[in-house]
Amino acid sequence: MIVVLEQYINIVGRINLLEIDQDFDLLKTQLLDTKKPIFETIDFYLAEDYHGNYYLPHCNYSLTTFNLVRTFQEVDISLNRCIIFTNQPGYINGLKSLIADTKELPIVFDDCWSVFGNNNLGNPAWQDIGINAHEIERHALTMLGAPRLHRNALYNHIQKNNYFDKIATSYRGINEG
Amino acid sequence: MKVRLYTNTKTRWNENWNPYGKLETRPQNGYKDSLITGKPNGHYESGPDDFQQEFYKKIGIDIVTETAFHYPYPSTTEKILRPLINKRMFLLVGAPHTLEFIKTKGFKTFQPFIDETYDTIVDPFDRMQVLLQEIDRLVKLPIDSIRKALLQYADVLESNFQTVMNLESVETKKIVKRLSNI
Repeated sequence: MIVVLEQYINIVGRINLLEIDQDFDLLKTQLLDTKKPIFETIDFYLAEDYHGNYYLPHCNYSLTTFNLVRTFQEVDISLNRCIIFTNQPGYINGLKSLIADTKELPIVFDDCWSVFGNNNLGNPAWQDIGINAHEIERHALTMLGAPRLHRNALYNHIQKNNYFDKIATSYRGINEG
Repeated sequence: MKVRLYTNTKTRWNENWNPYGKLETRPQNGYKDSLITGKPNGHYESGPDDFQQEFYKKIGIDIVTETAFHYPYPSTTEKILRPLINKRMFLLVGAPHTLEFIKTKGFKTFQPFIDETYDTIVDPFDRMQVLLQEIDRLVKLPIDSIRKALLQYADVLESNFQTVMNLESVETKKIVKRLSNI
């Protein structure tokens, strides 16, 4: 994807929000190191925001988005020099709440599943398997990863109702770190 | 210019959505059904084994628990890809309107066999209640009903698989189209 993008834009820097989320001074340093006296029309920072963020109740921008905007403002670089790739449709609304001038808004691609390999699309090892309904042994499957409230609620419901013979379940519990 | 940055939070997720502890959400010790092999939910090691496993052939519905649940926007990760690639029906335990979002990507879902009303319910507690009720209903069906439904939705399952296969190409064209106008 980067090779494709470079045909159309000049990538000034790449911003991995998961990495800088813990310390926005890292972003500040990066921006100061790469800031141009005059940005050309095709100059852009690329930001990836694929890992979910913390939203305060009833707030349409996350703390990460807030910090991103404020850091760009602090080093006096317009957010319109930034392209954000994310998988959260509607993400631009949070930015609009923070940036009054629409000309200052970044370009946001908010429905990208394939960019930057987060979803491992295009894997050649995938097979076109058959539906094979006659092989079905269980109603359902659920693979619950790290304990979160919604996964705990589902797991506890499965356990309480003893659905294990109907729903093949895996759950990474508190005893597994 | 005065700016104020928030310090990082202890968690990336605001999980304060279970009013008065009405739902049992305490974490438990781990559990793994013998049917499930390999690295289920191997988020950091995602590879072909995590998406396409033999055991998928033995189940009818994938109850996908996405990373985000109480969230202001639809949100998807690699988790929803599993049933799409493995041609299985699915329920999505995730942020509201996420089914609506994936339909905009060309994927199809399983209404009316699966009641997908839950996707429209914004309140997380109410959404979880409706999801659990739908799971209760589905697991009480005879297993033959699940098999028949898979056959009934065969076209949808095949279509979803092809949509995944074409997704990178479609998204790349869309991005290029917009950037070429800069």
